[in-house]
Amino acid sequence: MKNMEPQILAAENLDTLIQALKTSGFFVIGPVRQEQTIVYDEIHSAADLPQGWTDEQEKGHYRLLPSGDSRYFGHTVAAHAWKKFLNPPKQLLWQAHREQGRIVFSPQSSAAAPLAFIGVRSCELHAIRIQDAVFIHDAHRDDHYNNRRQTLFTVAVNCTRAAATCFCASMHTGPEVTLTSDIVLTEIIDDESHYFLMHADTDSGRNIIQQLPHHVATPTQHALAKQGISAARDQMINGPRYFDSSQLKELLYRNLESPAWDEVAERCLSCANCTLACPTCFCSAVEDTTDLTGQHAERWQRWDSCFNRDFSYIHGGAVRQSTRSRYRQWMTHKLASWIDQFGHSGCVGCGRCITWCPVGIDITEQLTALQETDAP
Amino acid sequence: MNTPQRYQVVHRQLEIPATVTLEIQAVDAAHIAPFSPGQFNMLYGFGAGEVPISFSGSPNARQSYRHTLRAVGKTSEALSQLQVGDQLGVRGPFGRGWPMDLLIGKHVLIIAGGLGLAPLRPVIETLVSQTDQYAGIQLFYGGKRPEELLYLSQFKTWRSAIDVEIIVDRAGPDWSGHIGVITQLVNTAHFPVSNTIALVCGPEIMMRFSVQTLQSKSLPDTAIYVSMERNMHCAIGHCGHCQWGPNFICKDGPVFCYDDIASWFYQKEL
Amino acid sequence: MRRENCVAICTRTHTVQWHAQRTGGFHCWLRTIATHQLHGSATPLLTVNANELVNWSWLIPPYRHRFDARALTALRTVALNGTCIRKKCDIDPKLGFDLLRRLSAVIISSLHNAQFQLLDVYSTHS
Repeated sequence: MKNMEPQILAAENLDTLIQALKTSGFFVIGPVRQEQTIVYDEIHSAADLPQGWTDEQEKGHYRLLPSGDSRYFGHTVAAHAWKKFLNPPKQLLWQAHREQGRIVFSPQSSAAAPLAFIGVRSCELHAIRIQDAVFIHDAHRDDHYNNRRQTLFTVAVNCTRAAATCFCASMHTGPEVTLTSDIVLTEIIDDESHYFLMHADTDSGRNIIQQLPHHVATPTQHALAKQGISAARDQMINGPRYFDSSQLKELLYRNLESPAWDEVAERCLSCANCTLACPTCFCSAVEDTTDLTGQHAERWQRWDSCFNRDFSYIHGGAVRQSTRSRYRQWMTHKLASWIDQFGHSGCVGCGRCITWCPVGIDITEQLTALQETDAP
Repeated sequence: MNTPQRYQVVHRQLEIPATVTLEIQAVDAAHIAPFSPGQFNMLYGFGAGEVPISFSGSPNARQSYRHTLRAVGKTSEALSQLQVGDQLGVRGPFGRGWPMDLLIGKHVLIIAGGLGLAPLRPVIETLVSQTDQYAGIQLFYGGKRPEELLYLSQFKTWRSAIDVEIIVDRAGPDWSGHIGVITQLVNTAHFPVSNTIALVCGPEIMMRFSVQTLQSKSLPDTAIYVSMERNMHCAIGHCGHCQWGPNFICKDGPVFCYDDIASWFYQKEL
Repeated sequence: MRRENCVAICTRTHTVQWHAQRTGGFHCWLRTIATHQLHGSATPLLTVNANELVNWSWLIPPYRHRFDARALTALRTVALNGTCIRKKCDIDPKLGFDLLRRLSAVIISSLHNAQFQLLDVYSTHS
């Protein structure tokens, strides 16, 4: 079955999708309510989804509120990024033993159940593609990442609402899903009816859809889906965080000594929250350890952040001593040097760094600050 | 590329205090992967960690690698204590080295400071073995004191094939070489500007002064190569630590043509 | 390096030792030596290149030199009478300015080199 027409999945049948994925052997992950936020975690049924909840996001601000409707995906991006499943925060790379002076290395296998992500937003698909460029398509491949990625199944959801912090419209990464996803959903509440417009981009997606109760969508239903996506886009275009992203690399490269860095450095705590929340930040550190006998060693890889002082440590000192230089590194990498490195920006406009900054630093405001003192 | 290969120390040479050269052979393979001068290996000391160390032996040696390393931290301290027969882990070779192909037919200036001579020794050994391939070869080597200079016993051999000048910051009365800064040597050097390539390796500050001197003598930026150093964990462009502007030192470097990195070279805390 | 270019300027009090020249070339290096060591031999401080000044104490009051110099290889030096030059410069300010302009470039270069030497520029690479 090819080029399947968009289908309708009734909201009450959403669970059949989750069950079909589980039956197919996937470990299913989706948005859930945890500690008064929405995070991504294992889900067993549609009942685990945050139906009836929406989020309010602003600089250093996140609240979950009842949405007043029965939407499953009435929220926007979760506190977590999907990267925690594809590139776990901490993973064992190998172990080694020493016996009579001889070392034996045992690489860690990454065999695990294939993952299915439900509720992936357009910006998040872009973020996954951006990490693919680092871990799969660059000169060296990360086999652990690649194994998880090759078996990944995605159910993307078009955004019909933008949080105040969202700026994917500026980064051209949303709100409409345009990258390949196994299944793409648009959630629609039309008077009394609640359903999903759905289509598949891949054979595996089509196979799953075949297992669900579905029928062909009407042109009106199509139009309603488009309207919802447009509404999200309009929210962003008419909001304060809409900007022209076409010249960011040049702007940042010619402003490495801008006074704007000094100003933001006075507020930045160098806490690394933005890099942990960011769906594309990929930096990691390795730690070599031994047990008490000294005969067993392990190498662990864990997320690291360019905001950590020791990140640039070399010969008794850090290269980036000041917060100013570390914030500059993060933002310049994200929006400028990333383009030189991988051919595209490292920012998808998800707004997580804005929401989760404890002092409310806003990357879009920092761009404005750079522009104000810019002398091209 | 993630799990180290087992290697064994087959020769250990104390070069100067706290600085040793280890000659290592693969335990599980008869041969070693070929490397280009300027590339590096990640050396793992059991339980102590892993550090990037440049190749400092001849690239023609097919049975073993040589690495000169200084004990400056926990890991390099552990590695420098390894004795003949001890095992270590090795990942590599990594990175882009010196532009060996471009040197053919050229006048080659080799400018090294301190331990910066170690990544250049594979270049020198290659050049010395085929001097007729080059228009001229000059080595300028600077160090703090005569007793902190590397490979002094080899200089006699090198001098028979190439022009060698050494300069130190401080010396005793028995030192008959130059005293001063390495830029003095570069300043007085005679080389054909249109047919020269300069390879510079040492601490960043020493490379900056050297590059400025080469520029003042009208050597174009495209003819100057430098070897950079930053924190490195993975060596394959995944961990992000070695980023320097748009460059990953581990895979885009460590050797760069100055013309490609000129806009980053003077940027503080980059 | 051509013999004609090898000009070093020093005051008459400097000791210049002549050594055999090295293989083919004609190396023009002077080495200045501190003269006021309490014990043992003098400490070498700096190698002076061709066309550089060994000493400029004669230029600035109190006109007292502090270092000695020793030639390591065969070289040609020009020794000038500092007192005489100063008198000529006093009489002819244009000559004085021109001389100072040329000498200050050499002095500044030497000063920069001395500062560079203090930086310990070789110590951080591994």
